Amino acid sequence: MVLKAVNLQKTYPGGVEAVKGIDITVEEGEIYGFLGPNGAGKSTSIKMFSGLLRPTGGNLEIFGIDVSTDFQKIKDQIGYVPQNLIYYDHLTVMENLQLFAACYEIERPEERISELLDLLQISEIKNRKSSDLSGGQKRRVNLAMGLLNDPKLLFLDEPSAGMDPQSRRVLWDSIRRLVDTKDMSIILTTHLMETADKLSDRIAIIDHGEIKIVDTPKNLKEKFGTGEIIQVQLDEEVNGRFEEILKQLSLQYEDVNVRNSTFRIGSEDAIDDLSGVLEIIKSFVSKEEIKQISINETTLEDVFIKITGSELRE
Amino acid sequence: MKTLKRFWLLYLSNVRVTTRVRVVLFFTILFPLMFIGIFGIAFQTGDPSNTTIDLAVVNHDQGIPDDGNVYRNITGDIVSGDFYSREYLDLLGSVTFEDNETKIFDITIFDDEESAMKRVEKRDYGALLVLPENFTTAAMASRRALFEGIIPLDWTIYPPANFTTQLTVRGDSTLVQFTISYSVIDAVTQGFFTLDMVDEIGGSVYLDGGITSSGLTVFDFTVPGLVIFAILSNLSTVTVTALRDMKDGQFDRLKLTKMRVSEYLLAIVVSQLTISVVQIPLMFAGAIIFGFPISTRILYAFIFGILVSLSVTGIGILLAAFVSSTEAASALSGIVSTPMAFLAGAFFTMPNPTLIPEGSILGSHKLGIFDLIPARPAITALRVVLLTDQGMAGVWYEFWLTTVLVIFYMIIGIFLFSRKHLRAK
Repeated sequence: MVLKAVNLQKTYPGGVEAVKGIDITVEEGEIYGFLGPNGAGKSTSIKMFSGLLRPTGGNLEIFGIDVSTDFQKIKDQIGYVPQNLIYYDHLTVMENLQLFAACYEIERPEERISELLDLLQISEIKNRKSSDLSGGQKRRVNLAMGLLNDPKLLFLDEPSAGMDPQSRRVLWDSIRRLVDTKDMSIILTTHLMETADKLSDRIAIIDHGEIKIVDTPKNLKEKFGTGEIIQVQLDEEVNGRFEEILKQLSLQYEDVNVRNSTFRIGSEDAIDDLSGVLEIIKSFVSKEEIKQISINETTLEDVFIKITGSELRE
Repeated sequence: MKTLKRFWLLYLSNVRVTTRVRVVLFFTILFPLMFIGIFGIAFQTGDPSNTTIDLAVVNHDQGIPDDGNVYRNITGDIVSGDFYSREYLDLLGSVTFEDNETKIFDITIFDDEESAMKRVEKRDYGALLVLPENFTTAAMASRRALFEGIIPLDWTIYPPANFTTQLTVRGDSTLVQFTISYSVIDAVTQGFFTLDMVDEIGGSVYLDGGITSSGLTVFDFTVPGLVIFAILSNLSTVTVTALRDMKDGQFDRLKLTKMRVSEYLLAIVVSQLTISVVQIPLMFAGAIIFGFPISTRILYAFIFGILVSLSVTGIGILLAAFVSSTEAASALSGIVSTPMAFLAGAFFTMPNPTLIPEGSILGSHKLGIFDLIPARPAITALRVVLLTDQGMAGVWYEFWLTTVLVIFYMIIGIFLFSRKHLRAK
């Protein structure tokens, strides 16, 4: 077992309970995702795991070592990639990496840096000032710095926040490759469903400092999904009638919600239910006011809404 | 070796981060140089030597020894009374500025040192000159040293040729009047006792290094203060640097490596020292353009510049312990550094209320409230070493006071900063 937290708590001075006693175990080679809205306690948890915050209760072991007493012993084996882009803006990518390589006392730092630059596809920008990079490049530099010491356990705090889809995909591929080739375990936090879904072997859904459930993305969707989702997008101009439509749909179907002018109805048999759904909606709006109709598989977001009773907050 | 490499890269990163930010470069290099330019243009030709300095004198001279011997001067005339100190004071009173006929000193004789010093402290007088009881004896000895074997007199009755005495010049060494008084008195005294420059006294009084004391300008007097002001202007950089890494998470990130906190702090200290070491010659180069006398004594500026730089780092770290954002750090350091420069006397002399009076635990020295600003004793010392020929011998008290203050601010700064920012959260 790589990491084991039992009843881990963090209460900040002033009485704010950021983490209210979480239990998790992370196995070797696993990518463990913390999914939750901002303020759910994800970053506080990951900072406790990485030794940056002292827990106010509970136990935490990494590689079988008690972090509260022997953190120095496992420091070499962990890597931390913070949510914010943390490096010296006025240094080049290379200068930042050289500084951290020296701080980690890396043997043959040039080799290690070159390996990471290739892995994260940022070799061509190594001599550019860090402040001049694009958002995706900055994220990858941020990640490279956390990987310099070749950690056995890597903490990624919101790794793909603010990245464009292409950079996100490069990042995911890199992370996957690290786990596959380096036998690394990863704990990541994210408020992005896609990141959690694509990257995590298991997901812990966390809200208000508590873990609501832990399982694989597939199992979560199977357990909490209702098969398929009928989505009907209406013209925004008819939003005055949304409440009445929602009321009528809810009389017929159990799992109904509306967001961004789109009604989402959970269904065991979407093909059968589709005509009934449209009949109710058409009794309130004209055909022209229906923008799009689709049938989708249940997403992690649907699971999240079911478990926490709310959408992911930004 | 690894520790050294780590420290080197931490140090290098700090220097790079500082020097690659244009606004920081402006405030550390160009801004102080602008002051040199402004003061240079304003005061380079504004010679304070046009103004006669009021000099208080207490004369304890006992005159020619009343021992039954008949003493003669080098022309063979019999001398008696307090002849030599009177002659000396006449000479001192007749010394004029280099470019005009204005007398440097207006001498007032006082009966006792205490009442004279009170007037000096009130700034009625620029300095107090105390002539010792054996002034004439020393003058007679110097004549014997100069003329025995040349002029046929009975030199055996004269005091031995190696007889020496000491004149005392007292006053506020942060005042330009004092600095000028000291250097002129020193030169006149040297000339009087050696007689080798009598002809030149009154026109031009030479000190070591060929500096003409009568040519001292307000600008020359201000330059040491401006050099120290340049170093004080680094306060904002230190405070912001110390806090920035705490606030943006850089320090947390570094903490997860093998870096030691001591290495991190030392890198900040040494990088600031480097910047100061660059500032000092640049400031003097600017000053020399405006007529500041070139002298090897400028090297002393590095000693006091380094001390002030260390104290600025200590104070910067101390300030960083009281703020939680880099914006607040920048504002607070600005609020502190500007009055600090004024109170330290960087631009002109400020009154300095006494904290520890002369004659108590500090012996012949006194400690003012503003002497607790390390820049103040450093500026005083720099004025003495740069504008007079006393060298370090005349400023040991200022050196040790500055050193003690550096240690004090460093310890307090690191202690409070560690307590606020470096403890596990």
